[in-house]
Amino acid sequence: MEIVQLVVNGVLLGGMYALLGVGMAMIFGIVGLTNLAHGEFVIVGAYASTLLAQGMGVDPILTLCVTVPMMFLIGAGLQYALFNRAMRRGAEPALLVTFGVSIILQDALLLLFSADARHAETAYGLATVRIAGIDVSALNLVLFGISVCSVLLLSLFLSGTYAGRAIRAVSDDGRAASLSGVNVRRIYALAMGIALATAAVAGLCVGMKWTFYPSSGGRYLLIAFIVVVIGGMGSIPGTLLAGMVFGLAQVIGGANYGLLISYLLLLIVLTFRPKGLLGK
Amino acid sequence: MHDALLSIEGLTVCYGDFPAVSSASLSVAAEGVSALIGANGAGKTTLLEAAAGLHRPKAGKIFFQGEDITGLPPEEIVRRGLCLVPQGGRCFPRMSVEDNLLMGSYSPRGRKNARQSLERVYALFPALMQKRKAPAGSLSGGQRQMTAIGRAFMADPKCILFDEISLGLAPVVIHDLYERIQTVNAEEKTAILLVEQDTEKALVLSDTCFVMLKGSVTLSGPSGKLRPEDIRSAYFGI
Repeated sequence: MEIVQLVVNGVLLGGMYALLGVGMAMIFGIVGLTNLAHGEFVIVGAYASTLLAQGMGVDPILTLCVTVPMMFLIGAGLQYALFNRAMRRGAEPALLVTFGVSIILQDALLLLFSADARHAETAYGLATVRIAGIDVSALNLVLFGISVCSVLLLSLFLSGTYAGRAIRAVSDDGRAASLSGVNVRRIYALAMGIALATAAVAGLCVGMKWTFYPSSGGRYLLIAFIVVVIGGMGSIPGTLLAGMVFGLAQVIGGANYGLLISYLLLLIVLTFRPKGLLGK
Repeated sequence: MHDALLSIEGLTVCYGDFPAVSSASLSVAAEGVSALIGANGAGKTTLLEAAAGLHRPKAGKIFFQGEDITGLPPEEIVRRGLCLVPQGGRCFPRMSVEDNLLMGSYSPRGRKNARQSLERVYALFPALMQKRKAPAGSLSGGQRQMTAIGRAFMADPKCILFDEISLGLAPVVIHDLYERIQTVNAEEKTAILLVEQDTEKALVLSDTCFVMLKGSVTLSGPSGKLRPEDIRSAYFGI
């Protein structure tokens, strides 16, 4: 029974990890940019959700109605105004610009909200649900639902709409996409907007699950990185699977060995399946 | 020149300091098939790519349907009904055949009738119908070229530029592809400008032929009436 409990917890956590990775994977695969500020964007989302929920006295989940569109606009705007320009000069300048953004965001958060730990409180934060003889944390269940729904929604968008197809086309061959009538820079902005929207949702989950500080971004950047590499670039099923694998590693390893097991997994995947579990 | 669908006037395109195309002029009539031939490095591909908006010309003008399209980005040119099937097809390898085709109808003019266009492309290339769910990267060279051609048809264009669709394909496949292109030209009145290595084939397929040498158009005229010795001297410069 204990093993089942462990697996369930791991999988539930895995949904969140997949959501953390999916925004990173999108920017990696489509825009061709390593976004070192992704962790900070997640934390910005966490602050936005936590403060809004406290301020208005509502459930943190409801704040998504505000934070998701807000982060989408920030992402699209940043891509237009900043990253597109930097990318014209090559991959390294663009990488440095995202690093700069991550430092600016971290310091801005510190300035605005101090170094105090924050957490988004919910009524069901400590409740458990008993399903088929297993105790499952209600919070984990909710977060899993939010995460997996977000990832599936994104997947549907990418496969079934003109804009989604255009995003995939640009990631396959930007020049051929422009010959099909796609404005590539606009698609980059759309992709960055969506990536930040996923960061907003991931931020909400982080805020509800753990305490966070202005400096927590690096931790989530690392998780996103590991999930992207294990899952394979640009593969949403791969990212989901990688999230679950990573979640299991965390739960099995516990506080002491969780990260160690994750790194070992990363090494093994890089050695034997360098394109990721489901990468082609 | 005024009734031409696409007219290129004194076009010069440079890679750095090197002029790949230098004051080249040609015009494509509405509804016709034109061929552009020339030796390797004569500037045929660069000329087509410049017309599609992939290169910014250093000098000269490009008019499409009487409007100046010089310097417009590729997506804007597709929107107006001028499509390029680039060398090698350039399908989206990780996307399914059907998604590749649907990408062709991305611009507003194609999106209106996307479903009908899709059925028409499948009728034209039944092989694609069978492979519609397969990733384009898994197709044979001929099928990939079909996908690229079908993708261009999906945009409901007034004029399509084909850059050496026969490259690396078997003669039977090439014959088949050109037959389909002629069908579309006859039925939809889509004007065609094709670059072809096989001079004889180009002359048979087209109504009008242009010969390029070292970046300039050295000979043009009705394909049936050009004399072989003139073509030879325009082609080789001797």
